[in-house]
Amino acid sequence: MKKRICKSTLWTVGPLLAVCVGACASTPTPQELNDARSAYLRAQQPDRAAMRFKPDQVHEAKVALDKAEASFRDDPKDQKTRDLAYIAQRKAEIAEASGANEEARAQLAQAEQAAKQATKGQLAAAGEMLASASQRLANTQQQLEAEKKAHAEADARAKEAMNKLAAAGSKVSEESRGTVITMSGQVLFASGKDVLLPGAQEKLSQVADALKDQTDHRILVEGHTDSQGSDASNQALSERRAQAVAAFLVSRGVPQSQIRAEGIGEARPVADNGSAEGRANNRRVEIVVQPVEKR
Amino acid sequence: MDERKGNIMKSVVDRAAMALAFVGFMAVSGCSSHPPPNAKVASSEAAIRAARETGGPSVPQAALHLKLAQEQLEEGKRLMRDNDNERASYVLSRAEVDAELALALSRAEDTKAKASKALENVRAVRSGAPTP
Repeated sequence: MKKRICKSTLWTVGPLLAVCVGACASTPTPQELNDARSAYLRAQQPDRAAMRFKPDQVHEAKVALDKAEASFRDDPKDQKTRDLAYIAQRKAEIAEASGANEEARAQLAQAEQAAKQATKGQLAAAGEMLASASQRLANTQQQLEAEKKAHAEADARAKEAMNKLAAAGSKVSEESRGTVITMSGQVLFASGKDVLLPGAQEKLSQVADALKDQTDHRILVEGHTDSQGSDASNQALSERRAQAVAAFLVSRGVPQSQIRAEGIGEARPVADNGSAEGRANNRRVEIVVQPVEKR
Repeated sequence: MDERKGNIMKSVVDRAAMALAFVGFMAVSGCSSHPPPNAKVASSEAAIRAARETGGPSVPQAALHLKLAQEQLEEGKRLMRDNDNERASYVLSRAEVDAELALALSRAEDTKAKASKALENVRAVRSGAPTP
């Protein structure tokens, strides 16, 4: 009995041992194990996302790889080695994918933070813009108020000035082209001359005083004659007289830029040139005060 | 004296033989009596479901691993029917890690897409364009 057992033991163990030793020496590493090794080598690099964000999963891959390596040492030909290596490779890949996910999540959080900040910044900028716009609006309104007030004051002054002129004996009338101050030619000039008479200067000074504050008006000085004499000479005389009056007004403080002189000649009589009185009325200078176009 | 010695030897050998037989029996019966890996079937099925629900099929690499997982799940079930529970257990483990990889890949892809969209958003806000 003893002999039989010993023999059978030898029969069983002997070949097994031989197979094992032979296999260990010559069996090539299965593809799965090579893949698992390189997948793990990649995942465990410290600068890669897997190692930075999911070191625990990299460790799991390592444990799985160790199992596969142990199985390979134990029995290189066993299908088990291939399975364990396959699992180890997938675990390394999972670690890499999870690491990439975490990395992207960090980027997402950063981007969201940046977007929030940028939006906040824009809101602040918009708020500032709104504030400055409303400030400007307030300023504009204030300005408008002030202008309106100034305008009303100027109007009042103009009216007062005109009233004063009228009271002093000048003829002042409101026409569609503006306020017209009519001055008799006899009062202003000697016959046929364009030099202002001394008495005229006083009257014109009053007019200048009334006009020089009217900065928002244009002033047109028109010279008119009667029908005696040639058209051309009347035209020229009326121009010279208008210019003389305008120059005097400017010398008394009416802004040059506001005033314009024009000769009309005998073209626009206001009375019958047949009578001496009518001709006297036609010889005149008209000062037209025109409001500047309102904005 | 000789006879006694022979008797002792005989009883030692008998005991050794019995022990050996017992060990052999255990080894053989152990091999053939791997319990069916039902838990592994369940867990790989759950992993496959999770991967599919996370949009696995829309990311090509994830779709590949999802498919591998499904194939290996079927293979594992077939092995169980053939009573090869040990091999089935490994194949099912392979199915499970493939499904987990599919899930991780599609999650990563999803987050990357979100991140790049958010970055675009930042650029749009900074350049003053209206945000979508």
